[in-house]
Amino acid sequence: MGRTGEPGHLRRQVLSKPALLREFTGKFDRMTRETLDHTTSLEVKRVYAYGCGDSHNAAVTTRMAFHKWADVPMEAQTSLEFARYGTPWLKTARPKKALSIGISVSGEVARTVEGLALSKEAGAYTLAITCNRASRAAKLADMTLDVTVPEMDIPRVRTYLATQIALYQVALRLAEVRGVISYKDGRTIRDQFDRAADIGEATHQANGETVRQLAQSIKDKPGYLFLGGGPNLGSAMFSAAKILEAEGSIAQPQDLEEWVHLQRFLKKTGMPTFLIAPPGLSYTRAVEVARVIKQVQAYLVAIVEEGEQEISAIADVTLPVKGHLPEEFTPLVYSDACEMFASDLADATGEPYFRDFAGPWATPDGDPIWFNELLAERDQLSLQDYSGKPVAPNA
Amino acid sequence: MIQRVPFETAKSTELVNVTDFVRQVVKDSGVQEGLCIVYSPHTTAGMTLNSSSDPATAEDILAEFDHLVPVRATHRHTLDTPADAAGHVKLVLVGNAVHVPIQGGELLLGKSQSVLFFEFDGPRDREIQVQILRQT
Repeated sequence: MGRTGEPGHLRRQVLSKPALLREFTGKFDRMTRETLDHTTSLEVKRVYAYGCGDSHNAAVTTRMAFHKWADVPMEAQTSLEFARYGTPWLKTARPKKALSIGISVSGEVARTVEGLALSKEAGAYTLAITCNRASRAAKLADMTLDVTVPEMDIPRVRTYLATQIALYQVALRLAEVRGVISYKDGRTIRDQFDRAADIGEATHQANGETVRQLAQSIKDKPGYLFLGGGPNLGSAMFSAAKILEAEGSIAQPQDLEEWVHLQRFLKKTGMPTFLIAPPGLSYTRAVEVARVIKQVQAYLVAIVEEGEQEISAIADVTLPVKGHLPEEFTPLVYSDACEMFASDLADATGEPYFRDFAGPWATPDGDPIWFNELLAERDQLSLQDYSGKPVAPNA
Repeated sequence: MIQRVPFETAKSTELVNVTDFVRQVVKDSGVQEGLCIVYSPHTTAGMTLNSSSDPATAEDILAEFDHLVPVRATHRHTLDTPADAAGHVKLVLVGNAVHVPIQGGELLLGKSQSVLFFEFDGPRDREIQVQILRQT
């Protein structure tokens, strides 16, 4: 299969997530504590976490943990947004007080490397989260968290989880060092990772066959929508991403509220709409949105906590999550059913992952996500900031 | 015989009066003459004997420890928190155990003395270990 995993590989990755959580959470905890020192942790006033694709999604899913545990604002951005539209103003706005976290599994995604380079020049502390210590991102950043885990074939799920764990650990580290939470609070938070693993395992068991049948029954639909709020907007993004990668159908993530403003008006009825709605700050809105989803005759797939009644009562299919987690932890399990669905959809249609990188999807000159003329020219040319003034070279 | 007494501390730093726990262990032991050892099996929590009649005394003691060993970012032990790093140093100044004679089946404490547990990095689940040595 070349660059991609064997058929069914995606589902196997999903099923392996609980074991990965149990094996790597403690390791990443230790690594984060060894990497992020007290001075940096105490000085940080704002965190920027950015990446492309899965890496960006992981940042969105963990933003709430930074706010809730560490009481520090975190902005989850795409790498292009951060590098080109964020870093020009970092220097004057928040000198030496920003923690810039560039997330890239390969460490070579160009816009993420660019974000690290430009934010470092602007005076931010830079942290690379990557699976490649030899990469440009790792070499450039002040600090690196190496989140390498076994079995990283694409489409990837395990590296997404590894990245999430690392980001949660950064939030936890900031929270503890800054004294926002106590040692005991920290223990309680750490226990939730094991709990998420248990819930994930039970959820896979409960939904495995239902998801397979669902993929078979709606495989010919024109597209798939994934809705979530807060941290689970990231889950919705990641779910849609796996459909695109695994099967190639149109798949769109959307914020719960934005769906009411936009996709509600799709003229085609029966659109599969996966509503990710754990207990939490946007749950009551999810209930209201579910009613509208049914009103416009979309096909509602509910991903809710086991025992939930209001959305389940009107859903066409319910995929229950088998246990309760605090909302900031829910992204660890609430996209699992969607990820399995993506795998099963590819199996049902016979579509190869990433179109096998053949024909129009071939990349004979290298993957375009690695191209970066701006970085390539840096050694010869002074970077110009937005106002045209020369930017000081790295110290 | 060693009796373990588990309890929870409530604050980041505090003095917890454990005298009643220790008295109960002595009473349960039936020992009339001997020595009671109260031991803290922790690295950021210790033991002392001092007054508990005025809560302000505890505040003074804790404040002075903070002056002696401030919580700061420059400790070399950074794997845990700055408070934890300072707690290790504070414990060295306090020690992990106190010894109180037993006479007539009672702790031979001075009129103002109490057995106090020093929490330097809480709140946490903690315990004290009490050992009674019978005089032969």
